[in-house]
Amino acid sequence: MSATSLRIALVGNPNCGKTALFNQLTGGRQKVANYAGVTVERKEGRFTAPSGRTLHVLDLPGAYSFDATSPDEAITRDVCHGRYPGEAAPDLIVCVADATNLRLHLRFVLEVRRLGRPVVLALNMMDAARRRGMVIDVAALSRRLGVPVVETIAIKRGGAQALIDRVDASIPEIVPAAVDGASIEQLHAEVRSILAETVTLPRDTSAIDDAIDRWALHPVFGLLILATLMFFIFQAVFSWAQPVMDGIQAGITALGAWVTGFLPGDSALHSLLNDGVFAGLGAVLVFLPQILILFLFILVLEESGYLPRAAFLLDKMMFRVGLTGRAFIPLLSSFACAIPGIMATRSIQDPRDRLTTILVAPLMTCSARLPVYTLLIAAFIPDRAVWGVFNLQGVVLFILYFAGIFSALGVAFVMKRLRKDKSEHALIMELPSYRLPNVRDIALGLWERAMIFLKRVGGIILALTVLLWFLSTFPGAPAGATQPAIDYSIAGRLGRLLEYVFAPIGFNWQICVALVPGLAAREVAVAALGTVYAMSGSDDAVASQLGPLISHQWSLATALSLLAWYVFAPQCMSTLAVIRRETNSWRNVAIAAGYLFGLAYLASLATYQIARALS
Amino acid sequence: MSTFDIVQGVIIALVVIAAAYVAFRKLLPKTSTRVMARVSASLNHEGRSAVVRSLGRRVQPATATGSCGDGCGSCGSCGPTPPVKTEAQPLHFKPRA
Repeated sequence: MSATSLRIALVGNPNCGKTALFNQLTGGRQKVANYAGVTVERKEGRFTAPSGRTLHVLDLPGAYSFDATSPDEAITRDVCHGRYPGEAAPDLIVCVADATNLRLHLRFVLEVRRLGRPVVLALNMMDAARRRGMVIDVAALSRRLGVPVVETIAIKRGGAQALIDRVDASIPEIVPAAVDGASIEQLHAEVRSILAETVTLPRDTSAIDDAIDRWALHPVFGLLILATLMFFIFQAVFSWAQPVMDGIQAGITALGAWVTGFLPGDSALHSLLNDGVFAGLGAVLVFLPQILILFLFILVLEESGYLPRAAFLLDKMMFRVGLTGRAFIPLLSSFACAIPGIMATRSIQDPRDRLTTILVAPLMTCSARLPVYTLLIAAFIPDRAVWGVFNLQGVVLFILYFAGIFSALGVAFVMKRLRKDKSEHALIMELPSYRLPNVRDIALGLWERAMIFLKRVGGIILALTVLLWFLSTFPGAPAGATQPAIDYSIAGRLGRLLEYVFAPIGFNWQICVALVPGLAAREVAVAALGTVYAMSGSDDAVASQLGPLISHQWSLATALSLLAWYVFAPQCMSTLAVIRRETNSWRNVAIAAGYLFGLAYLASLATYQIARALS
Repeated sequence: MSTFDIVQGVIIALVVIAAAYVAFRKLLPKTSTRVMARVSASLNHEGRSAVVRSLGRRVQPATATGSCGDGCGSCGSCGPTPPVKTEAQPLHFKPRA
């Protein structure tokens, strides 16, 4: 500790608002959601207090106690005890507690106090506590605990001011804990005693939550509500996005025509811009509205507190196939991207459950698959109504998402059969209070998603598209060549070579070429198809509209086969890298890649052959 | 060969080299960091000219970062934090005997 800086650690039970408070204090934009286990790593930020002192803030994963049972809880334990590698013990621990749920959270506060370090208790969500009619005697609570207590509302601008003022004023004195070495029963008894003295509680739970949960957690209606929600999301992805997608497409085409208009039509530079940059990137960029609509729903569900309910509803089914209910959140995160999903498995205590969840997470349909799915669906599935209400394209997208889910359940079931350990793990999960999503948070979340996507388009996707253009252009066609120039290029020859392997599943050489850069990021496959078809001598106007082009050149069987391929294929090297990092084993990477490629090939083979036989 | 052809060739070469560099950095972050560190060390040692040494310092990589933040479409939180070494538990997949 120095006079000019102070290291603060934010600790507390999961979902008490530590990260929201961290964002308030530091101006950070770490992910916040209304369920336990969002933060699985330590995050660091800093801000300058009114006194001019620099405060370094650590946001730690939530923990119910220091008896860590999962890797994320172990981080919190080690940092608080000063045992985290390369990390000094914090000068001050800010213990964050959900004011509406002190019965649960105070026990951890007592444990933190026993560390013998300076502690400040931040009573968060005080607005929600007041709405529920709770009266907390803060002064009495502070006296009983022997630590300063401040009120905070982490989701409100300025809601952390009292905390800033308190930590900036002075380091609180260390008060010896009254129950050093106390057993869990003694801690619970002390919590009850403190609550009886300091808190007036009209009722244990929120009346609104109870009313909603009567339906949302109903074994039949609850599942129906969940299925309807999911169905509605995929309908919206198709129905709402089209006008904006058309606008983006028209803009890209016009910009491409204007930019390339200054260059000779037969020059390599014209080809690079037209066939590489605009045909390739334009084919991906157009899917931004659909990705944002999908994330809009995911963010709203995350903020509302509904997701843990869905986990509760599906726990029985998940348990039957060998997954724990705790796997629900990681798997749901994998709908955005498998990487945060795999990292979120750190909240799963049992190593075997965790490994199973890690290995099936890539089967969840990540947002990078969306451009591929929607390209193929728009090209091959007619845009018509089903039963007068539903959009057929949306129904197919819904089916593809569920194909991913059911295949994950199937794989987990096989793993369960292979496992020696048959022990059962009960699902103990905290159901948070429902909350109206904050419009600003949702807008910020969408903005960040859009930026991430655009940075990807302008970064790795652009780089790979340029490289693919280069490989598709050189070496050029020899004198007297009769085929399009790409046939003589490195990419063309590679595609023809791969075609031998993929011909049984209906992939032509253009698809084979697109699969290779698609290993880096799935959306690149769409950009690659755009470039390859533009380089294949297709008319420029047609090349800018990849969907109509492939609908003329591919059979329905090929399109369905490619869809089946993308349901299973582990076409993202980053996912495999994260599996390696999280499991510390190349063997698990090999297992994941092997079974996913095997399933992808078999599914595509079956799909292609059956579709051909039926057509 | 016209001036346009020469300029065009130079532009395309630069763009392709830049694309290869970006892809290398994004897809193989550890390897690229190692390579850049070696290049930097070979350029930035005594006996080299000031310009070369300055170039060596310029290409010296920052601390290595994980690849997941680079390759993922929607993850905003998995970049530079090191893995928890104290709790590393290799998970072994054990088929039924």
